[in-house]
Amino acid sequence: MGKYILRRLVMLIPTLLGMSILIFGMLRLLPGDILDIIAGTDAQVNEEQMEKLREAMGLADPIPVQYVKWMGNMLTGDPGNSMRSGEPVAELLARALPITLELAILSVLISTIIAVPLGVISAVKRDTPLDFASRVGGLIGLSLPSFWIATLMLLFTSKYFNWTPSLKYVPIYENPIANLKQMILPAIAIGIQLMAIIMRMTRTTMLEVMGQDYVRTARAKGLQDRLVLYRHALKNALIPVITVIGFQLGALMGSSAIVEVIFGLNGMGNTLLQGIFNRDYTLVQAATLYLAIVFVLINLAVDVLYGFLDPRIKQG
Amino acid sequence: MQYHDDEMRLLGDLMRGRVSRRSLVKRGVALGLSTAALGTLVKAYDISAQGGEPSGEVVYALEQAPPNIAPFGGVSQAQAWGNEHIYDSLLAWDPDLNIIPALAEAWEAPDNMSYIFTLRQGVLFHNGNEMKAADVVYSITNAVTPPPPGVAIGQLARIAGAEAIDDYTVKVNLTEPDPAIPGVFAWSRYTSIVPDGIHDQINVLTEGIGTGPYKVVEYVQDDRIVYEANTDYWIEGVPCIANLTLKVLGDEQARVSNLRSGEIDGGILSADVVVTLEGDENLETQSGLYAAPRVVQLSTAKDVPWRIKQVRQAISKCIDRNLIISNVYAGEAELTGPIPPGYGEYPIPNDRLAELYTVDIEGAKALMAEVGMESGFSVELQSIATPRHTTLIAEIFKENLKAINIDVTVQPLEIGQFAENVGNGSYEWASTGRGMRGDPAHFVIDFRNGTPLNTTWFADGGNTGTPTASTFGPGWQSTAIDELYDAAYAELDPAKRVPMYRELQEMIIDEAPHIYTVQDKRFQVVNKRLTGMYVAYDLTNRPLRTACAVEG
Repeated sequence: MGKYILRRLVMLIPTLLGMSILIFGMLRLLPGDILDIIAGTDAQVNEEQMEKLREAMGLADPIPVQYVKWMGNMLTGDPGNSMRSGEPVAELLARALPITLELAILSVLISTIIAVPLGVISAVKRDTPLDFASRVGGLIGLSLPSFWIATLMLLFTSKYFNWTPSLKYVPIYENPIANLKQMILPAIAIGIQLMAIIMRMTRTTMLEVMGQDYVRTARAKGLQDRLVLYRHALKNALIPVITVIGFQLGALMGSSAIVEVIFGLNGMGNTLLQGIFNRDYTLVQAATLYLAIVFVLINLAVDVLYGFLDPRIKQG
Repeated sequence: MQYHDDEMRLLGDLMRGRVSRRSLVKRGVALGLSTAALGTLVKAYDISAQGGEPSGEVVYALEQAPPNIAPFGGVSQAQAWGNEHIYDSLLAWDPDLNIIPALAEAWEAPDNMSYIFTLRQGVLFHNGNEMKAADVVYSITNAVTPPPPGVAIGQLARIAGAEAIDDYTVKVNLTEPDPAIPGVFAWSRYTSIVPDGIHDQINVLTEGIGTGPYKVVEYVQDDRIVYEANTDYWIEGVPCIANLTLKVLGDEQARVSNLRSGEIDGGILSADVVVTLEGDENLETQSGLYAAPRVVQLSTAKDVPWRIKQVRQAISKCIDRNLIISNVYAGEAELTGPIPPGYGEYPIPNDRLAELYTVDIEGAKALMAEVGMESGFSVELQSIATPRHTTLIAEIFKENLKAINIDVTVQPLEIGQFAENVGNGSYEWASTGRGMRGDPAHFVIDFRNGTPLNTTWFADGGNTGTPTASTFGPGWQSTAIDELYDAAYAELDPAKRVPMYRELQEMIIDEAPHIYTVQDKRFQVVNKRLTGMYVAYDLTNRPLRTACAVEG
């Protein structure tokens, strides 16, 4: 297992190098730069002045030169400063990352806690009204975009309870209750789609596993249904579910942007979105690369977890 | 020209409790203050009667994140929202855009090539140091040539430099006569006064030392800016709010929800969303005109049919501006020329605009036929994808211009690309809007030959060539407009400037190098506990400087 992890970690290097080129290149393909945004559509600023500023900000260098400078800094652990505020990007991301991480973990937790039992029940009570209700609920959950759910949640709670989550972020270690009051709605908004995915995946894999020989054997040995379900079927059915959860956790890190904007949370998504709108290259490059690293590491963790759940994978 | 600060004195007396409510109204009327200005002062009186110390906490929502809070070289409105409470300028506007003293208690133009500002004494920066002439000289130098990422502003281009006559007198020297200078200082967006050497003391992008009513406590990029009251502010009794937070809430429905729940005390909403809050007894809706005239720019940089004046005039005659008012802005807009309604006496009156903008399809067809363009042409009209109103206006252009066989393809673009295209002239037509200006001249400066954007947008050359079928003549330029622009710019007497700028606008509308359409209204919803608020014409949130938070 140690060698496997080491091999995967070594493979990270070319992956991240490729990603950095992709991220850097795609950002430069976006029309306009930060100076175009600063000058807007309404300024008495001529192109000559703009070019001088571009030179001063290092934007006039050839793109490969800019890339090498950036990567050089990244390799020394310095992602640079935000082009808008001059603040160290590392500080900005350190401020934003915990918010998004908590949001993602919370939404995965909520989704899993609700969706796995629902999926199991749906599979066990196949083709009953309970199963149909779960499946229809799952379809609805899949169809609802998280930003729409988030907006409705806010409008509903403000209209009928005169309440919306606080706009001032309170870290969970400072005040867990206040933090949860603030984070629970956005986590649910993000989690509903995930909940539907997990529920459907659990149901499908449970149905598959329950038809396997070893489950039949366990039943034939006279084991109680509950034991068969939890000790034999569920443990095996969860492997693909964990894969999905792992992928989704990584994806949530980057896809929670709109929900963060709606709830006024200054997480990674919001930071990234504002950075893109403002062509804050240094910020976006570093944030995207870090998100990519997190995504790859989560996948690695999922693969390692596989090994523990299924010894055949570990041996392979 | 000498301006004595009677209005400021009145405000000072008010805050010191030296004036009764009745005499406040009397003195305000004697000073010729408008109803709106008087209303603000009376509200301020009511608040000051409750006691002098700043109190309460206010959270106001911004729809865009300030990229930074640098005092110089920031063009974007969002940047101004971030720094406008920290810094003052030498002059200011009252709510009716009259120029009033601020850090300078008086100013004069001894000749056409300079202005002398007499500074108010005893004004303290947030670091406790007194503001003196050296600070003003440093500030003006940086305003003219801002450090990166600030961009040099065309409105300050005629300032050659500033010099300190003594500790409290500053002379601003010009390269050419410029009557717009007081207006630019009153606008204050580009002329913050900072301590000498501020760039060596702090990161001005995230911190601030000004003389303004609020000190910046915390700037959190893309999230919030937290301020506390400057209790040493030079207008006694101002500010009234102890703690002010500007919270970035880009989503409009999020602003609606948080206004309802009381998490925020105010914010800007669009006309169609504001109606959803009607009937909420805790909230008050305010509306007012602001300076952002909508315009469709026609680039004549290339050999295009609309280089021909009759084609441009035909386009203008087809556009149903009332349809824009009703369909895009739900009736909450007015017709506009280059200078938007509400900008003092300078805009063309609405009745006259209605005459100039009468839809005349037959007249348009005749003009097209006159120059052999009755079969029309195809053109791309770029617009801003979000917010949608410039795209909606573009769609109305598309429909209206079918009448004269002009086939318009509307191309909504992300703001970055749109800004780049407009900046470097990579467009055929562009649906956009202008912003606030410090002087009427700056609303029409783009039509003066030789100015920075004029060459990019219109190309050099005069309309002297005879258009033919194969070439449409040279790029747009009007010698008559250039001459009147120069004459109006050299004129210092406001009474004489008004008719000159009105005539200039009519000439621009007749030439139609840009097609002006409408000016919409801005809607602000505030919690009733926040008093003294109004919709600022210059798109700022400056009312927060003097507003108060009433508890209970």
